[in-house]
Amino acid sequence: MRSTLERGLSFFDRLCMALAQLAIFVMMLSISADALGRYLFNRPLQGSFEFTTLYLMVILTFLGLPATYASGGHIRLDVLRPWIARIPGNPVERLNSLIAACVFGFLAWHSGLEAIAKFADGDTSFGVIQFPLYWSYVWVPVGCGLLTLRLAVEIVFPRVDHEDIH
Amino acid sequence: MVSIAVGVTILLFILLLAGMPVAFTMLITGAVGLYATGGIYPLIGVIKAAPYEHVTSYTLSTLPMFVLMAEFLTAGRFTRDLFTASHKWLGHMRGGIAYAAVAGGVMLSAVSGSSTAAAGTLAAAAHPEMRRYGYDDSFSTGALAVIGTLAIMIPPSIGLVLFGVFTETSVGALLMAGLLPGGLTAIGYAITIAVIVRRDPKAAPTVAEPVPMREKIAGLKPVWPILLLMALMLTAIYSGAITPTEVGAVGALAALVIAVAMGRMGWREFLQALASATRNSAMILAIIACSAVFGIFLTLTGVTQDLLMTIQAADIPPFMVLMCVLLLLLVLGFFLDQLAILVLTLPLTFPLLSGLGFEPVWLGILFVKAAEIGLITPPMGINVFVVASTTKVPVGKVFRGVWPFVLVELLILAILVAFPAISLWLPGQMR
Repeated sequence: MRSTLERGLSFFDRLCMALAQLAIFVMMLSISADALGRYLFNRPLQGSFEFTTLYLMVILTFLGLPATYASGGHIRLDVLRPWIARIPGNPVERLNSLIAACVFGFLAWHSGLEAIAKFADGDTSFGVIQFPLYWSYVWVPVGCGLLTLRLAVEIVFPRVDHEDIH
Repeated sequence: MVSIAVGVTILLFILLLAGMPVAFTMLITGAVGLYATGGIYPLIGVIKAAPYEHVTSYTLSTLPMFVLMAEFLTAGRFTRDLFTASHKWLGHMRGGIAYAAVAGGVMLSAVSGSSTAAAGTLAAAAHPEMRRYGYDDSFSTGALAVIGTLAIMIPPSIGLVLFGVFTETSVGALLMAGLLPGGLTAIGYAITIAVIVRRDPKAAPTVAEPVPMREKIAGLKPVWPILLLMALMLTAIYSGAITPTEVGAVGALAALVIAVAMGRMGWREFLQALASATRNSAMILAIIACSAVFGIFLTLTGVTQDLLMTIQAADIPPFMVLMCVLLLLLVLGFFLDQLAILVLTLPLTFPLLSGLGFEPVWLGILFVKAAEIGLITPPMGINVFVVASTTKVPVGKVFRGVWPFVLVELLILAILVAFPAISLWLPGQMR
């Protein structure tokens, strides 16, 4: 049960992470092309600014979120960890996952509704290239939703950090 | 309002102590606070928009770009070469490898914005050499942990970018402002090393044999593209014509091109660097997105305004307030990561201090410096743990070696407080 859930979530985590990696790389190329084009050839890359802020930054942040959490990449306070890990049944870890799942679930739900509303409106950005704004709002519910699922799994199967238990 | 703010702050510390990630803690406490202040509708309004809006920022994209550049340079093994080159020039002096580590650390800091990464790289390169020449482990590892902290002050600094984004202070001015305090810190370290090796003959008992001039110059060969990149970036930021974001992106691209052109980066190293940069960036950006909710809650309560008025009514000298805030940062540094300290304290302390009339750029330097000291103080000095795990020297031993440097750090912080011009002169020249 656990391993099936774990495998399923990890697949989507990795997929999102791959998109986030692509986003950071494209961000480097797009901003560089804009800057070098402007200062060397007087030909800036139109739309680089909007593309970076509206899509790449959002994708990098929110699609990178679930995998970074899953691999323990988020900074946390470790002072009490050795003691917390010794409590039988991991109640603190379970409670942490429950609280975080509720809040991220709430965030995913409402940002999801927002994204649907934006799709219905069909707004675009101003400027030479008119980017569809609604595609910018999709990534928050996707990333936070995936994170919520993982947190929900961790309520039942709390994460055990073996190195902390001596 | 005040009781809600106090209650939420207590919740914040409980969650942090329970091991909740810092980013999640900021989101949860912010959401609870908003609900307690205004009910469900303000909460929905903020939570669906604020995390999104805070990351759709062009200035903020400086951050992933600086992280990416540092990862490309590390993957291309340039950071190691910077130390080796310094070692050839300085190794023959008494305690020379430690000086070389300072010089290598300064150059490393000029291309990397992350202290922990710098400390890890330096320790891996310099510690085996120090051990070979019989350096005392406590002295050598302590010095390496401390030298790593230079990266957070010397541009490109992730701490300063974060401060700029949070407080809407010019990132370019902040990066330039970090240059002289960073140099002052490096000089402070070198003097400390000189005093230690003179007073304790066992600290650095032997010196390396002098290297012929030809070899010294040959040692510079692999590092000159990096030195050139560093100089170009600083000039570009100083000129003010190019935004720090563009400097970061072009810097990352240049680092990639240099590494590939010199045959130092294959497909595997490239993918590893990209994965590592994405993970680190996503972690920091998540903190920024989540703390947006907390920031709005704090603004809504008006606690900062109340506190400001109380202070002015009570006639407490602004300087006293500044001292209290710096003390708070140092104490938090015992337990928390530098970025976490900035994120937790800035929403309240920055409006307070700038409201009292302190210069934002100068505050940025003081905040980042105070947070930097926390990287090397027990029990949670992250750089110390990184160096201990890289060199396999016990953590306690590294902490013992760090103490003389902590005193010097405090002295430098005092100098920066006493002479704002050290921080403000260079950015003043930009305009």
